[in-house]
Amino acid sequence: MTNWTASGWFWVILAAYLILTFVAAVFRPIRKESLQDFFHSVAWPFGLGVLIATFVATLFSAFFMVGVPGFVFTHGLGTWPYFVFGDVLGMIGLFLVGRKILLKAQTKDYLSPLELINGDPLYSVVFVLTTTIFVLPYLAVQISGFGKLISVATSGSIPFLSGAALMLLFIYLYSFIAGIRGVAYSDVVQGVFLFAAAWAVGIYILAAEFNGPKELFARVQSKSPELLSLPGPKGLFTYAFLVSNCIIFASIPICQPQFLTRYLLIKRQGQSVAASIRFLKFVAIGMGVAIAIGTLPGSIIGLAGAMLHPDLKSGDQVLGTLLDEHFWPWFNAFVSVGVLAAAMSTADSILFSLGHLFSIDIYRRLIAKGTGGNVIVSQIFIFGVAVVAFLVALTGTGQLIVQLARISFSGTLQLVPSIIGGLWHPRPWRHAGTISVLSGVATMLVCLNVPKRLILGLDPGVPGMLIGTAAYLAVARVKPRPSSPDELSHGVRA
Amino acid sequence: MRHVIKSVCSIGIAVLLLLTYSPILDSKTVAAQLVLGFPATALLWLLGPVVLMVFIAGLILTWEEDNT
Repeated sequence: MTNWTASGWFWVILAAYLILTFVAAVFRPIRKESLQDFFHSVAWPFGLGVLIATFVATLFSAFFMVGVPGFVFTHGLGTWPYFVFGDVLGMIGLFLVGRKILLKAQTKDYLSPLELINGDPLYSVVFVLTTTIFVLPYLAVQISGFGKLISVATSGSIPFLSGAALMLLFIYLYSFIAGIRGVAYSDVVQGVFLFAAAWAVGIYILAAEFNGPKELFARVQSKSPELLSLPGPKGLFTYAFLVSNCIIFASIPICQPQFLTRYLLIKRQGQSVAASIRFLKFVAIGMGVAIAIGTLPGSIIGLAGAMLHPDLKSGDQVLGTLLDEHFWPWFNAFVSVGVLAAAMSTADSILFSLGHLFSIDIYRRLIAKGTGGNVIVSQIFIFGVAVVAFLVALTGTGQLIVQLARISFSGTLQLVPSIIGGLWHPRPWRHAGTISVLSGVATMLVCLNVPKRLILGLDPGVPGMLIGTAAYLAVARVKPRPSSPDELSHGVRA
Repeated sequence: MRHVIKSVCSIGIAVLLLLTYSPILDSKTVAAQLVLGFPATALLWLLGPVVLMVFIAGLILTWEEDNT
């Protein structure tokens, strides 16, 4: 690691990355008066490439570069199908939910997808709070990751706190200037960095140390065949794990705020809804292709690490050890910036989407009653979320924060029944969504504290979602929503 | 043609998901191993998610808006 600072490579590549990202992000600043432009880039509708990049980069966190190799190192190649199957199934969720939102949004320029799902004020509060409780710690972990990575890569020249604060400020700056355009175009640069870094490591290690994939697999087969077997060396990959992963990962495009708030970006201004849905199809397919392409290097790196450095104490050390032992300092620095880009692309999307939900669904709709709120108010809310996330990141080692970040996806899974019900149910009772979310979260919390065998080895989020679904179906018809025009304020319009 | 693609993709997705935890994947006599020399498990696992992605892409591409 010390070579990075000595050679200055990290500083050079980091500077190049930051300049590229900033220029790409702010070259088309927002029109100050338009919330639609700030959140949905109506002045400059995105091309297909940028749309795909922003969905993909949002999904790809540092986990794909550090966590996946670690999982493969520890649990074997089962990581690849068990993770990618669920992520690829997410293509279906992305397409179906995105399509429904686009169909419903064709009559009016909505500012938030929550207006389309359920216009009930109580539901909005429950939705935003649930999202915040489970997603903010995940954001804080990403911010904490910036700080640690920069501190290590600069051998402490930039301390943890300063590194985390500077990167967060950088993200906020381009979000402030260019709104969603800043986030989306920065995603393009970040996506290029993280994909290039991941594949460069995978291809080089495969070619230089194993003369290709054939030898890698032959060595794994002879040295550690358990890495090529199910349920893996430590028995992780059970059928229950597969089912849980498929449900949780496939639901990410349905319930994560950074995805939900992106569907309206696909609405092509001045074009037919059919044209928007055609765009959506290619976004879904592009994301699937990117998942398959982007996860593969992590699997190669993990297997290579298991063969070259089998004595590592933790799988998380695989990437760093391979970089230190087998690569040049400049390459090491390049990959570190790639990991930073992966974390930043996830963090900026979460930060912007939480600011979006607070400023539109809480402040504008509930407090200002739809009349107040402008771009500056939204910028202030995004800043507020950034400050809170930073403060949470400072306590990043706290047990509660780590625990909440770990169950982030399981927690947001509890929003799925109310989102699907809100989009597809013809006339649900307005409190059905609220009851569904609360019962799902309560069930999940109970299941977190019972022996796993009682829930058939499933992730606690899965029984929570099932109970939430049952609750939604049970109460949706308690008092069906009248279909009079007045009730359209409830939010269901298509 | 559209219906054929849809059917193939739907059946393919179901079969792939079932195969993921099937003992077949642990078999060392799968023909694929003979073709490329990789362990069959590794090859099938590597290809499985990619094929699944292709099937889902086929389903999405053949989605007909007027059916909804």
